[in-house]
Amino acid sequence: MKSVFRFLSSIGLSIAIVATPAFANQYDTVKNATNNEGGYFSAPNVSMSSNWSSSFPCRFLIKTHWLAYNGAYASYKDWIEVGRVHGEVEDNTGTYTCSGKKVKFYDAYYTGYGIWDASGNLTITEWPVTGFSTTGTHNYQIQRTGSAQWKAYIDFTTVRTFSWNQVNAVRHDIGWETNTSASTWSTPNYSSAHELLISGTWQRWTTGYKSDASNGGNSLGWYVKFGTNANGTTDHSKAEYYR
Amino acid sequence: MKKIVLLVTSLGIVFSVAAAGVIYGQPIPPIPRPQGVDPNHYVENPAPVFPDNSAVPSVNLVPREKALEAVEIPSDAKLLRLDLTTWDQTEQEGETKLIAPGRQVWILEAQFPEFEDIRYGMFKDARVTLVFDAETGQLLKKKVVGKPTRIPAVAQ
Repeated sequence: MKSVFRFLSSIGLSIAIVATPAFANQYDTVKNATNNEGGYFSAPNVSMSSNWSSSFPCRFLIKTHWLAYNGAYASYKDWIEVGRVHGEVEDNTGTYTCSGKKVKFYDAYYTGYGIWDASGNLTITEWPVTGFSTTGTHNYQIQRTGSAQWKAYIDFTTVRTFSWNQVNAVRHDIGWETNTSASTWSTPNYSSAHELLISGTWQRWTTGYKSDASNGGNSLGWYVKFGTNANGTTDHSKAEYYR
Repeated sequence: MKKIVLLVTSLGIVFSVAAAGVIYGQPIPPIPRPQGVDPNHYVENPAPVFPDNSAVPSVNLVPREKALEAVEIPSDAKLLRLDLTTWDQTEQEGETKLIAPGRQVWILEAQFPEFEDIRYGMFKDARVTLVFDAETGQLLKKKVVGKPTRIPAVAQ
């Protein structure tokens, strides 16, 4: 291989070595690109599994939602998220190692954010959240609650207050993210009560679009369907997820 | 004339007090809550899941050498900080009530030319901060700052 590089170099060519991401995450989500000051949804805690094991300690599966904001770099979005996670988490007493980090199995909740600076640096921060049941139906909410203040809620309990200058979000995403084709969930698997806070009033989604296997958002074959109203029209405030 | 001045002054005081009553007496508008959700269900100040343990002696905490094992720091990376401190010293971007301010934590900061985050993939020139509960070893916060080599779906 070195001789190939030397040869190319000798004739004035070079090869850009691009790092291949170790994990190409897959998504199965619904999105609503309406400006808002909050997002909410409700979902039963169906049996979900990343099939994490001591042999595969890097796996995770997340059911979550994100509020996306216009960021400071290019057209990329900042975001706040809160949801449910099954799989790896860093832990300094962890027995297993993933990408040079001690990890252990984690079945709970999390919240976090991502924010760009003007130079293209991305800051991601995550806080694991424990203390909530992992069975039954749960409610997830992100809402602007004051000047430069947004809050993330799980089951109407504040799990984090963010110092966040944005006055509105520009999109609401709800659904699944994983880094392994081994992830599974039981059916029926749905989200409901998709709502946005618009001009001071919470409103059910009346529009939306999908990012799933039908449009390249997922190579695992996972797809999503919006709900249907009694009169046969699409109900964007509900979604069912399939794999 | 004095009577007129007195009347105007007293009227001014009455109006000022009334106006102040309107401003200060008005209740703060309630934060709107999703449809069908009882606002009384909200818990804004939950009890901490990780209570204050500032009195726990260090001999009962995760030892320094174990805390250092959290992340492999290769020769081209640099450990910037590994300190036993309290949670309130790590909060810069807001707050959570689920962790008491006096909870003892390990904070590890390191600079990596390349850092592989399990969820977000490779970051170039990354500054990584990990905060662990010093009693249980559980991760309480992860922060990575750097140039990502792939763009998360939500950012697109």
